[in-house]
Amino acid sequence: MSVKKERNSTKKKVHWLAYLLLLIGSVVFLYPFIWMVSASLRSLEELAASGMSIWPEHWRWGNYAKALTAFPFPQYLLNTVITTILPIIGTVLSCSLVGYAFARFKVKGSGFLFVLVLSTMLLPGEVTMIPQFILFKKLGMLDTLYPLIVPAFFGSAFYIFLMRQFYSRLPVGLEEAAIIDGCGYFKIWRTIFLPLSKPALMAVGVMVFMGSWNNFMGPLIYINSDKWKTLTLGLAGFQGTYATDTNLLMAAAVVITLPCILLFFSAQKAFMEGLTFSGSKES
Amino acid sequence: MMKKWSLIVLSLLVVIALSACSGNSESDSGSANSGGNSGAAKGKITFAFWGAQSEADAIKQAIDNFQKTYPDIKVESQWIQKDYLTKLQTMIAGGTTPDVMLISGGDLPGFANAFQELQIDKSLFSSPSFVDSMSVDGKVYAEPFIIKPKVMAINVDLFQKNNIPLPSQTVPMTTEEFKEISQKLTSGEGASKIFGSEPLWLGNWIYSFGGQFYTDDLSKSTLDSPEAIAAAEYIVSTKQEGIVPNDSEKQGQNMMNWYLGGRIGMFTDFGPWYLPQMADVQNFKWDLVPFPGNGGSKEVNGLALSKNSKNAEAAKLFINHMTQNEEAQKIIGGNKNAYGVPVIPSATSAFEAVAPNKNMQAFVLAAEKQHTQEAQKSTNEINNEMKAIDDTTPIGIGTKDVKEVFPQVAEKINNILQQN
Repeated sequence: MSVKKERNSTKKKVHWLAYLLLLIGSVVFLYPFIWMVSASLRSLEELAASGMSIWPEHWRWGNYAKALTAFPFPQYLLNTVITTILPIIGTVLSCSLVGYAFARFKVKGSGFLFVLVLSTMLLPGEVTMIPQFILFKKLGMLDTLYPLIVPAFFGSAFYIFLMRQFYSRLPVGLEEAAIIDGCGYFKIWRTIFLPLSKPALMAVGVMVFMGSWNNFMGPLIYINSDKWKTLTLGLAGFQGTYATDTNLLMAAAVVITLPCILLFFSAQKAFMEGLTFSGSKES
Repeated sequence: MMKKWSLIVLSLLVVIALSACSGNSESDSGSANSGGNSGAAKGKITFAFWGAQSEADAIKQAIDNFQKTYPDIKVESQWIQKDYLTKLQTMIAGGTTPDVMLISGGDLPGFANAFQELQIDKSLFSSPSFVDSMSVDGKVYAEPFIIKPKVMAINVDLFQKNNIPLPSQTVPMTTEEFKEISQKLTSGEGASKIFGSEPLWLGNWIYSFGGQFYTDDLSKSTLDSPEAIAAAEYIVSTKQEGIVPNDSEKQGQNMMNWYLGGRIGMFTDFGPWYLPQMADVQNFKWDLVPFPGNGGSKEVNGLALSKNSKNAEAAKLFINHMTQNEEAQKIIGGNKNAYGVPVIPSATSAFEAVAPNKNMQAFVLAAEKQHTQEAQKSTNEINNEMKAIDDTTPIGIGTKDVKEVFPQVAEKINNILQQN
């Protein structure tokens, strides 16, 4: 009995310790975000004198109005939404289709082809930037949203890898039964593999969302006209070479970060499931 | 059946959205609908520039002013918010170089190959040094557009509290006087310590001691000169005496924020870009005085013409208007966000009116007299060698004597210059 009690109390202590560590971790990660919100409500002068404090003396809600009217916010928002949603659709469709093929069609050379696809991940963006720019110039797509959308419809090595790992673990029996029932490969992918891979698709979707929503270099390189600019470029406008309107920058950043946070929390379960299922838990 | 339909609808949505992503770029090229002063020049030109929102607003206003005078020339502005040089390099490599580009004197040598040589009358500008700053190997590649000099901002209340007479508004204080005043202004301990100045930057102070980074023909480094070493030793001494924040105190801190918070008496690296922030200051009185000694360095920004411009005539008209027209220069220089000092004398009054109660004349004088930041083609390689100053001497985090390190760095830079 006493051994059990002792075990229980040790268990409790470990729990408390774990929660304490988690609490410290949360504060460390949460503080910058809270500071961002607090900075967005201060004047530059107050910001300069505030140090670590996160409670504004005078709450300047006007900073938000000032920040969101400093650039054509609705136009930039629309462009950001378009260049986020379409790449999600494109990536999910193309990568799941290619991942399905790599997982299920074992033909001569498919292994080599898969390695070739993965090797594209080794090329840093800086190396491909100018050739891609020239490519889109030849296609007449500069200063449009196409360069930010079209590549997603042609797959991306990392997400193809993610989907292939997921599909490799699905039982072959499902597919065989479907073939006996007269299903073609495309229909098998559409009616069996796609619905079963929702967690992985969600994970891919959330990651593409984060990447596209926060994409800075793409819009910077390909877009010149104000009418096609995205929110990340709007944010950059608050930073001069030497001086920065930190309070306005933070106000706009809060508004722009909110959708990312909301999306992550609403899709958190599927996101984690998708990552662990397609990750290292191979049986 | 339903799923089939949903797929079709989805595909249609994608197609519609994609078709909405591109404008009819042809429609806005070559607009020429009404007569103006442009003579034969007409059509479209592109103009690339960097800057924060406020700076971009000032430039766009000046572009509007140009369009009013030359309605036959359409200027398509390309405001590049950040990473300007990366985008410029990509556009040049990709064959889409803008007709006119804003370029700083420091970056000019690296880009001169992409620009046309210009013939400019130096006497049009407040100082012939403006045009000299836009030259590479004796050829002028850009026309001066705006000047960003450095002055010193002082906390007047702190001076009065410590019974220190206010510095002259026209005559720069000596480096000895600067140190003496800094010592008197420094007080307190820990988080509330008040410092005489922010940490001093060699890029400004080397000129205060009569030195410079290169010989006049830019062929050799002069970091091993007695003047450069004297400036370096002076910077180290201010750190050792505790009259400027040390490395651990300044780590991750914004020194302008410290000045705004009343913890710094004299902010030496004060460019016009800080003026909008100062407009809101309520908690102390402040003013501007000249940079100590012969010091500070100015940045000259100019407008360059692309070598491959298909509408060079219109682009030249645009450059001339933006740099020489009084109204355009007043729009840029008189912008409430203090873009910089205009390059022509008749427009400087607009800049001085940005902060009418402050000694803005200090900026105007500095623009004319201050040394220009010297520039080389191999900026990255040279900067890598310059890192040794911060890494190994007490100017940064090191302990080695500046007398030992500076000649070594000068030699390495000279090797780079010889190779190129």
